[in-house]
Parts: sequence; C-alpha cells; structure tokens
Amino acid sequence: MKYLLVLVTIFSSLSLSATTAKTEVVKVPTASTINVNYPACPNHKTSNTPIKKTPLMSGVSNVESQEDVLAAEEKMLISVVGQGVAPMNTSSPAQAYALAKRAAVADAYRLIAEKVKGVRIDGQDLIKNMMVKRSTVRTSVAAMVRNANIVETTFKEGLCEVEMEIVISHAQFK
Amino acid sequence: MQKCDGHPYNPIIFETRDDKNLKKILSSNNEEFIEYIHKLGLSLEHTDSTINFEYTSTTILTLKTRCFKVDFNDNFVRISPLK
Repeated sequence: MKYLLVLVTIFSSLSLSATTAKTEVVKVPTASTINVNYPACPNHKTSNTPIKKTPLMSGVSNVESQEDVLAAEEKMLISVVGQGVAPMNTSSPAQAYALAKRAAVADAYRLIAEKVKGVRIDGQDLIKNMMVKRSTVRTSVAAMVRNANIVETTFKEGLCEVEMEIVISHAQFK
Repeated sequence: MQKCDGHPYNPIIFETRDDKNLKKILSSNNEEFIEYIHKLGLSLEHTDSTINFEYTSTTILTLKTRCFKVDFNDNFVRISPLK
C-alpha cells in the first residue's frame, strides 16, 4: 500500500509537470532577435571585421569536390568480369555455353552500370515482438551503355566469365 | 514501317553464302551480331532482392530502336546503322 501511494504521487507529479509544460508559452528567438553580448576577452583584440561564415558541413563540401575523379579531357578505363551459369535443362553443351555467356555479358553490363552510375539500395526489416520476421534488401540500377568491349571469355565447369571494358570520358557526362 | 534518314557508319560485314535471307544470315552469325549491336547501345535495368537471405535477380537488356542500311553484294552483306 505504501509503495502504491509512492507510485501514485510520482505519477501525479509527472502528469502535473506535463500539464504545466503544455500550458507554458515559450517564445523561440529568431536569428534576428538573438543578440548576445559576451564580455570582451582581455587577451584578444576585438575587431569590427565581419566573421567569415563557414558552411555548416564544410567537410562534406570538400568530399563533394573530391568526387570529380574524372577531369575534363581525361579518359578512364573501367574493366569488369561478369559471371553467368548455364541453366540445368539445356539440350546441348553448346546451348549451355551460349546461355551462360549471355548471362555473363548481361552481368558485365550490369557491373559497368553500377560502377559508372551507382546503385540504388533499399532495405526493409520487419520486426514483430522483438523478432526479425522479414529482412529485405533490394538493389537496382538503370543505365544506357554504349561502346563496351568484350575482352576475354572463359568457360570452365559450367561457369562463364566475360571480361568487359569501357572507356569513359568527361564529355560523355555533359 | 517508315523511311529512315541518316548516314551509315560503323558497318559490319557477313558472308552470305549465296543466301539473300537476312534473318538466316543474322541467326547463323548471331554471336557476332549480338556483340556488335550491344556495342551500339543498349538500356539496362537490373534489380535484385535478398529476402530472408534468399537471393533473386533480374537483368533486362533492351536494344535501342535503330535504322540500318543493308547492302547485299555478291558474297557479302554490309549492315550499317544510320546516324
């Protein structure tokens, strides 16, 4: 009974503070109304020169500038190796090779698109009663690829590997 | 079918072996022709999903709509896209 009373008093005080917080009007100062006068530091000279505003995420802007990896008048060679496996129910080894190669070529194009354009990644986890019911990761890419060259094709133990190269230049992205 | 304008460029040449059927010539040289036509440009759409550690993927390659000029000579056929 004693504990119950204590709990009741705690809850009542909490609810009271909550109601008071609701009714209290807080005036948020705007940028123009903020005027703080700090006492002058004796070791530092004060000056009237305006403070140079640095961007809040100056580090991020530096990263963005470093992203220009492909300078103008410069070319870049991108090389990928696509892999493809033949389906189980093929009518001949030749058909198996042809289908595996087709899959490997498509995979190589996909790798080039991912390297040049980037990948969109969506993830979703469904958690019920503190347990993961369904975990989903989806990736996607869409691109137009032109002038990619097949350099080498190998077929070993049902796996076809296609080495593909593409030369990209700065002018192609203008 | 509509008339296409443009200048031929970057041709590919196949042996006809006295056959004037373009479809047959292309199917007998399909590996070469597909590689060539892919190089001219294609659009790619790829999606893959991993649901509860089970992976599925789909990649769709779609060729661009393009006009070609086809010239049959004595023993060869010259196929060139128009630009």
